[in-house]
Amino acid sequence: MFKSKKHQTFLRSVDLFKDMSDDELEQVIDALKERKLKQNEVLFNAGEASDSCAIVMEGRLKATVAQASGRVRELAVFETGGVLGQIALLDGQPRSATITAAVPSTVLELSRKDFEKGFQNGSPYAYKLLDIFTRVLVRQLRTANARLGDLATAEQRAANPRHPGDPEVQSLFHDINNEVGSIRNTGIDLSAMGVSGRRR
Amino acid sequence: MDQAQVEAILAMFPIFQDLSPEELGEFSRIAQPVSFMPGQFICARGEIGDCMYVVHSGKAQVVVAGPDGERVPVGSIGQGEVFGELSLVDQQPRSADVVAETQVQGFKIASADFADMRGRLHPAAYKVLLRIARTLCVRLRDVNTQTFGKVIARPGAKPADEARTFWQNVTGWIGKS
Repeated sequence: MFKSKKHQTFLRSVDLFKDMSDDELEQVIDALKERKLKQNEVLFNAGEASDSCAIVMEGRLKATVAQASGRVRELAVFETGGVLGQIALLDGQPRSATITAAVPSTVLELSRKDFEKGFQNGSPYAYKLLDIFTRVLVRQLRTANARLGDLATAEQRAANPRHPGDPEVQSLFHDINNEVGSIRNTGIDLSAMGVSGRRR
Repeated sequence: MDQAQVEAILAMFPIFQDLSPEELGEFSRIAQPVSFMPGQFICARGEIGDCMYVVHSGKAQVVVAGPDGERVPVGSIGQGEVFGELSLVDQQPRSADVVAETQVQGFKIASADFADMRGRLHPAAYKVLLRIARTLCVRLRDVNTQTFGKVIARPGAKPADEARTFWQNVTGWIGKS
């Protein structure tokens, strides 16, 4: 009971859950499982089959991908209220990134089985979870498109024969190579505030 | 065209595949028939997308503005295809023009009508929403792959190809499935 109260207080503080009634929230809480992660502990690995998604209650997790060169790049960070793993949960494909706790963290996990069961039964809570996943996906796609757009612009400028080794262009490319990386995910609706993306 | 005919047409589109006959009926009631003559704009870049289109017959061209404002055709949309479905969940400006190449006939589903169904927690809306969410997943995986494949490239590497990939990707915002 205490645990459930704690989860309720937490979810009520997250913007994404504001459209849920108390009943719906209660059903979500019933389906959620708390999991604690030590620093550097892996929540899931790229390439694994997916059976859950999670919301960050405390701490900070990072999504990383290993590139063909072997270099590991940070794709995104997830802080309190951030939702992660919903892509693989929805499309059934293997995980696209590895999620690791950057600091000791607590997440609430939702199994694919519970989500699908709720959805097939036509439970309002499952529909509202899909609303949440969709909002998160739209936001992430918008940010990711903007990031790719920045990269394409920098490349076009770098490739312009009029400015071949233009120091400014080289420096822009350097910035993008090194800093365009990470998308910050929190429970705060940045898009609603007119912020399309935020760099760390 | 009566409602049964509309339902029969909608039933052929993957986005409506998970619906029961009754649920399909819900969509056939909000589907508005549309028809475009060759050369006519179905949607224009910059305008806010407020509906999804399903193409029953004909062919349309997708055109984006290139880096210097020139018109760059990046693909075509034909019979049996759906576009603009992201407009049902996120009303953004259209990223491309879609212009009828032949006579195009089909239906449009207004974002407002879809939002209304969602507001009533109608299962039909959520089954379609699940399909759209999966489309978003595919796009997001694709964009991330492009981004993180690109960051290791050096300036000047295959600029033309890279730029085209980018513009093709941007076309994704009209939501062609």
